[in-house]
Amino acid sequence: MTSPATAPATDAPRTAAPRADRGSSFRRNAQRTGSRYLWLFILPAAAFYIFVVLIPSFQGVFFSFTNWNGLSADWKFVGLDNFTRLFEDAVSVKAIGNTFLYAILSTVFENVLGLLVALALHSRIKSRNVLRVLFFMPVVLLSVVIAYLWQYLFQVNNGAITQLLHAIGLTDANPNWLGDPNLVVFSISIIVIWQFTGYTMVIYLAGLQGIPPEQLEAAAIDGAGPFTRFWYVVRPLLAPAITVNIMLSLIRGFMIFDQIWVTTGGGPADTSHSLSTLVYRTAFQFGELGRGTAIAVVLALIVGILGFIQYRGLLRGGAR
Amino acid sequence: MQWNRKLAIGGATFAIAGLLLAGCTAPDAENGGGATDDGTFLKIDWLANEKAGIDAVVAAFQEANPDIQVVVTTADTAQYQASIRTQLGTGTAADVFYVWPGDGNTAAIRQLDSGDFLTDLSDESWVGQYPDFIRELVSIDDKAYIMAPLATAFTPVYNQAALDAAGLTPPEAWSDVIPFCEAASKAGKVAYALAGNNLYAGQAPYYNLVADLVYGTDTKFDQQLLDGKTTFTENKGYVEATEKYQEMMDAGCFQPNATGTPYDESNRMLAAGEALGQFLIGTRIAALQAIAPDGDFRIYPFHSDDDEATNAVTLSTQGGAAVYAKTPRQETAKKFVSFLADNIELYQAAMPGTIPTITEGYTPANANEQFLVDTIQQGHAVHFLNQMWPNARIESAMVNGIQGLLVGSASPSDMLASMQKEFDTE
Repeated sequence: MTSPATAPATDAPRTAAPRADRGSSFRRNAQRTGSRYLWLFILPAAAFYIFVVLIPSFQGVFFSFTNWNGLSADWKFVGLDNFTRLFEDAVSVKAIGNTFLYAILSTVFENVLGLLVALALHSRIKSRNVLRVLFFMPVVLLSVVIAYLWQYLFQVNNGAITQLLHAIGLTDANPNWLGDPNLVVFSISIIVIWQFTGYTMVIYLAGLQGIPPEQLEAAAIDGAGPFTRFWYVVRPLLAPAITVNIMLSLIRGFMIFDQIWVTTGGGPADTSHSLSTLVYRTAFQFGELGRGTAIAVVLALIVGILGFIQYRGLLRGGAR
Repeated sequence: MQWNRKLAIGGATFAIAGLLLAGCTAPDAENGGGATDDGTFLKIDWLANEKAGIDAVVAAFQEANPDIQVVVTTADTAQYQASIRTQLGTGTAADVFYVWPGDGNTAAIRQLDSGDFLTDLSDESWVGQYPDFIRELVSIDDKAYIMAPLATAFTPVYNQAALDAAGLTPPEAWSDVIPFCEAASKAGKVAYALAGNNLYAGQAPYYNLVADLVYGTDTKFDQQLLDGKTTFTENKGYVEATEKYQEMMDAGCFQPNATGTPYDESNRMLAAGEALGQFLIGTRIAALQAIAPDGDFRIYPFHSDDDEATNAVTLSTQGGAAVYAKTPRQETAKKFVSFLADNIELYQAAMPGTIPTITEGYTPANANEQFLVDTIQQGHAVHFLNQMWPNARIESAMVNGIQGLLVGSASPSDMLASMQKEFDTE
């Protein structure tokens, strides 16, 4: 009979043994393959990442609490001044609002239009491959080139869009697309939406191609109409694609720079700035690196938090 | 097994060493390889919109000095101003690089003064040939730092054929300005095209308005502002100039929707005769001539009051060559800068709408250049406004304030208050 006192003693080797076996197996395996030293191979990449990304990032955070001008060795700590100025300055506050507006508008429209286009091009229409290429084409063009192109399209008087309005009978219409403070954010958002709808379309197309046709056929046999099939069959199966697209669109929206800088430079009267253009202007045009990095830190925090929330949503959506 | 371990450690060590060595040697390679001045290499960083000028001088320099390899890199203004500070901060600046005179932007000599980046060129013979006001702008504490080849002005430029067709003459005094705008409007023309979509286009009319009203009567304004004895909001000249700008806008002197008009469109309007004039910096006349090679685009003086005694024109140098104080190629760099000074007309000939800063012995090629030379000789030249402002934010407040006037979101007093706020903020 085994006494209670000795029972754990007899049980212990039973649970510990596999762990010890596993450990020695790993060691043996590592010794046999040399993988104990394989981590050395990631050192160059890690060193590069540390020098190029981590150290500058931490330096940036450090300098966001200083008044450093980027050149002088003479700088001092200013505490939270750079951050408080950001929230006190009317232009910065407007830029924060604009940044969210750019992100929300581009995310909503890129995804709605991208999904609609993907659904249309997932059908058996003859020219679908040509149309896919055409819709994707703006994605491969440089943002700067696209911004210059749209600057011409949006031009007052002789711009193509104004001419189009005249051609359809709106002869008095001459919207100041890029020069009216009430219109400019929407006009710039149109550029971004036009550029990246093709990108979301491609991700949705990939998602649609992964949906088993039998499920759609079964739903159709059960009497489900097109909308019902989309809502109860397609949408749940597209959830990972939707999450990825929303995350990418949001991050792109928050980082918007080229389209604003080329078309308006943040104008008219500082009404179209985003946080990114404000970072550039403050750090490089005004030579206030400390204040510029403070704005960049705030932008990074916003993007980081939203990215984290989206990532959690992605995991919960089953895209592990 | 041992062999694998050695291979792994050795491979990783080589890779890290290679990475670090590549990083360490990169700046030197960028500077052309040699760390000493053997007189065979020179690197120049220049402004893209003066590329034609520097290319002409570099070609002549290389012909005269075939043993010296010259590498020129250009960038547009915003990109250049951002990158030059980074290069100076990291010790990778070119031997000769473009800088701005005075103050007011991040690549102006007074903004770069804190780091001992600029070689003192005071002993060069050409420094004594500058007009006094240019020498002051390119100097700090009587030490000259820039070989600035060009001078140009902010003035109205008119399409002479369009003026003749409309039967109008440009205004010679402020009392003529609003009637001129009204007459242009009656003739179905815009008096002045304005590329208000470009942030900095709106400053051209403003510089013209301020010149007479502030500097025509009170040349000590800049010092008084720095000493705290006046402000933008209190200075009568600035208040009047800003209100007169608003008056011009209200009188329809500029086309509707000016903030949606880029330079391409405003230039087209002027070249096509839809607009009679446009306020420009002289270097932009080349763009007009490019789209209308046969066009007759003439500079006429503009005055913001009716008193001839206060006539002034914002005419200055945009910038020029500085020698990087930390480059080992000091002698080669100075040799090039001297060559630039000696061949200043070569540079100027490639840049229409400008004159050389050293006008001794210079013969103007046309009426526009004659106007610029006369302005200097009569002592009517006033520096560009921002060249005496202590930070770049004031200019930004000015150009955004002007856009605010155009779209109706700001008043003249708002604009001046905004400029003063940026002046007062460290």
